[in-house]
Amino acid sequence: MQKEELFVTASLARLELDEKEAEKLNEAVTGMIEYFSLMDKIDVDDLPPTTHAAAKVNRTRKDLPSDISLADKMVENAPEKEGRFITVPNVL
Amino acid sequence: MDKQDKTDKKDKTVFETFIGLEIHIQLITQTKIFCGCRNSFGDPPNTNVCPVCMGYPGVLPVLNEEAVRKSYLMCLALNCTLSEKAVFDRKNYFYPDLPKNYQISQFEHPFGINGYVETTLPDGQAKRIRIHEAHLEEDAGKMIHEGAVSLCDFNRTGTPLLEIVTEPDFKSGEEVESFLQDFRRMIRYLGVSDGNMEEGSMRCDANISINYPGKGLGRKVEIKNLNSSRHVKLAIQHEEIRQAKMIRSGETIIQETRLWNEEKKRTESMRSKEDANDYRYFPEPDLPPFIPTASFIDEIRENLVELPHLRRKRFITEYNLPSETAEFLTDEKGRADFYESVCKEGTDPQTAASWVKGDVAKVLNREKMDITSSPLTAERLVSLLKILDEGKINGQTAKKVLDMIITENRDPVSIITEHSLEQLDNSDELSSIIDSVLAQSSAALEQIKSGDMKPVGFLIGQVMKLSGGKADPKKTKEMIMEKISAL
Amino acid sequence: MWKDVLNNSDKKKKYINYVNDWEQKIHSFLEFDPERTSAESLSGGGRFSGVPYAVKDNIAVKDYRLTCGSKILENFVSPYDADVIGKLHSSGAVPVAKCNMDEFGMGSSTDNSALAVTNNPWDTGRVSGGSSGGAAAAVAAGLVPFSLGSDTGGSVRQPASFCGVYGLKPTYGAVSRYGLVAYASSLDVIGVLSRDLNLLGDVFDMIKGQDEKDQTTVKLDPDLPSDLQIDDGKPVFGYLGGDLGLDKSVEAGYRNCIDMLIKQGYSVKEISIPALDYVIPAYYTIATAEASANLARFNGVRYGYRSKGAETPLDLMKKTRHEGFGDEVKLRILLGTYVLRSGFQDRYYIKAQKIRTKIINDLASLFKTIELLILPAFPTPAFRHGEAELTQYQQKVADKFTATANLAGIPALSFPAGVYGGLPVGLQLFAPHSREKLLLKGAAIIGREIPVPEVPGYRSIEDICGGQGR
Repeated sequence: MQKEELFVTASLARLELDEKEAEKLNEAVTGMIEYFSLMDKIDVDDLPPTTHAAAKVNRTRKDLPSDISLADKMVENAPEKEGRFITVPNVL
Repeated sequence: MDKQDKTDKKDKTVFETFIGLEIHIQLITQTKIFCGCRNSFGDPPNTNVCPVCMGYPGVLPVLNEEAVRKSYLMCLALNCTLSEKAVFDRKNYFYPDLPKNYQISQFEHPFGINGYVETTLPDGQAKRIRIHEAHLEEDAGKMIHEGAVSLCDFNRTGTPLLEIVTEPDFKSGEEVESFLQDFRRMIRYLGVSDGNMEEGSMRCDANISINYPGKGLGRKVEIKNLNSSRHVKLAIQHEEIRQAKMIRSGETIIQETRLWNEEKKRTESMRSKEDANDYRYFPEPDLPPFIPTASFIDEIRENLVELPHLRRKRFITEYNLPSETAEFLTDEKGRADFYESVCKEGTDPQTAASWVKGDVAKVLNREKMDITSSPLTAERLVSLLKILDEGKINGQTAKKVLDMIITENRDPVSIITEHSLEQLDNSDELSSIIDSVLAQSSAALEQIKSGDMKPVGFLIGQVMKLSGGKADPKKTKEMIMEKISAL
Repeated sequence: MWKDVLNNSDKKKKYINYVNDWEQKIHSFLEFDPERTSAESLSGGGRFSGVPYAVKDNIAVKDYRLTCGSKILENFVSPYDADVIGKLHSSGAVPVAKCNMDEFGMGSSTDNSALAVTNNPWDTGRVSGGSSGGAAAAVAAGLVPFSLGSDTGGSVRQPASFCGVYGLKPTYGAVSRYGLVAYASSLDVIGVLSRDLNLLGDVFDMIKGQDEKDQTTVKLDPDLPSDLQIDDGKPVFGYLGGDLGLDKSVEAGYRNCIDMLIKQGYSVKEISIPALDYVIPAYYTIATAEASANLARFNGVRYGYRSKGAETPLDLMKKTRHEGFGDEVKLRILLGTYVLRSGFQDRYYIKAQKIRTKIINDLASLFKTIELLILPAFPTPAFRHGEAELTQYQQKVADKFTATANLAGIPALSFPAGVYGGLPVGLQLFAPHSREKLLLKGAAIIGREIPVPEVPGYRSIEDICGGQGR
């Protein structure tokens, strides 16, 4: 795999990679991707992909509010906050 | 701005415009799409949140059946073909207001595809707009940008959102504006969403391209940040001109997303967010596919009410109403239902229409009340109009009683009895009031005797005043004339 | 006997001493706190009242940390209980420890934990396997009667076999995943590790069942006809034939088990799984694809580690993930992101899902001729720390025997099959979908002849609490 591809992929995954790391990871990723191309050898074109492992029936829940509130605890858990808002550096 | 502006002095080419919409509507449910948090607007930040909608480690989405039902109702109203098996997908992108950093949506197998909806254009023409698809997804949170930080509020995260994508069937901003009004009316009729663009419960992005006539679609530009149907129109009009200018000067239109700047009244290129997006959609393994059975669809179909444009047409023919009145009455489902219940009780449709459109609307407006939740029930109005029709009260009194029904939440009969508002007709009381008025109005009597009938009105007014408004004006006039001629 | 441990202060003290002695050598726990247990939870009269157990650190226990062996969640405390914890709570069982693991379940050694190194109780120079390495080591050393792990491609069964204990991977969807931090959602399942097969079965009975918080859970068919026939007739075993590339000791254990069954008069058929060679590429494609999305939530915004000094949200996320994730996690996120990218999806992700269908079909037709399938758990016994014996790549390829069951969604159990050269060898049984009972009976048949080994230094709870100390 081209290193450029690795950086495109890393960017999509929001992973910063330093040079040394990129070197090592590129080798590992390339090795695995090559290994994955083993799949080219088996003909399964006629089979449908299995995307859902178990449940074959519709599952829904009733539209009823749950009353346990963990909201305060979760606001507390935020690394940085202002009042009840969770903050990040300004997007703009 | 009209077609004139699309041409300049040198180049008279009129371009053809194609506009498609992506409309997001927040569905009315008690709870969010994938958790039991309340789906409500305007609460303090981060109060309607739980581990599921905050994307905590280890949690799983659990699909809300009401969101599914409302989505299917909408699909039926849009005449969509339903997917045999609807599948949720993960749409992967990172943003601070998207807790899981993927949005659960529907990509390959949405609930509905290939539908259409009828709309009435500003010129009164009917037009069919094709619907590409309708799919259910979760809303993201909200961010407020303040100085060095952005404030994240996740209350909105997980609000059920139905996205309706139209085909590029609109030709102008005006068409889109009027369509959005029709559309909003429709979703409110169905009770699937309140369609409030200012509060964001209905949001609309527009894809617009222009091209030389007969050349098909041009290169499309997406416009976002449109907070009202008027702004949608303005943005489209602005964009048409911008693109036309570019083509004329030989520039290439860039396929991009632009934001509408409300203050500057122009669209602006969005700084390209990172590299090109690649959402890497794949089926959501945490949610089984949804297979709509025939009985499920039948059940949903029962909630498919008559849609506003059809109801308007029916009102015109069935109740013989002018189109403007029919439009007013069918604008809100509650109002149309109210009107029809009043008619059903035997009230003359014309009378009912003039009351609902006139005094009822006036008082409700003043009191900032909605017809469905106001104390004025159809029964109360029917009873009031019946009393009026029987001549027990006069029109002025009826208006007064209507006001009291609404402000005091009481039945018309009890108001009329308590304030003894029944008309004095041929009673001795009316006769003696007239007598005393005539006795004090010798000048007026002289005038009438000499053939000038003008003061009759004055005399009736005096009688009304003395009777506290209870005199029947018709009866009063008759008796005055009788008494004068007998003098 | 385990029932009394936590409510008798003398016994508890002896128990804690025993645990601490072992922990200095094996470091199976990231947190151990039997004192936290409230009196009220001990007074309840459940079937497992006061019985301690340990939980892999990717399963949420309220007010315990939920680190997943990662720096990114090092100080994260769970505000809620996983469904399985709630179910066990109602039986009276008490979680006393969180177990070390490969970061986010990614690994076969527990060496990929960012927080501690866990050693195999049989040989501290060796790994306890992974990713549920802590959970397996703790059970083998007798620190708890059972532990909960998670199995995505073998993460319960492989460490169980490295440590000489039983490890159950239930049918996909049999146990609620609510509270299990997702690695690969369509493959993950919570499993049980124990030295005691009956106890393991009891615990599975307690934690299984449809859960309204997990819409992928299924109802298991109770007592299918052939389950009931087991006591009368003998189940038909199959075993995977051909050159499986096994280490000598594993090969010996495997042969020994098959020979024993034949000697006992069981019908044993040699079979093959045609698509076996494609299991690993398909498995890693699917698992990493799902993982790339599942781990996207760890971005430093709402909880957990946040990188300091970032100037934009994008920067914040990239740096947080750069600093918070270990190498193996980064590798798998990159792989998963890559196989899902537009242009590559058909070749990798979709293809892998089709191969999965093929595996499901292969196994379904196999189970028409046999009832239980015996196969190795891992080609080697516990290997040494580091990559000297097995590189990370070789470790991945070696998952093929276990990952097959995850792709197929069927239940599988690894069981101890003897000790060779001082190290336990483990094998596996596969059963058809939702036939856990059959699986347990098969293991019981084998267990009568090949008992669970005791690691040197192991003491039963009766011995620990009854004796005068060591």
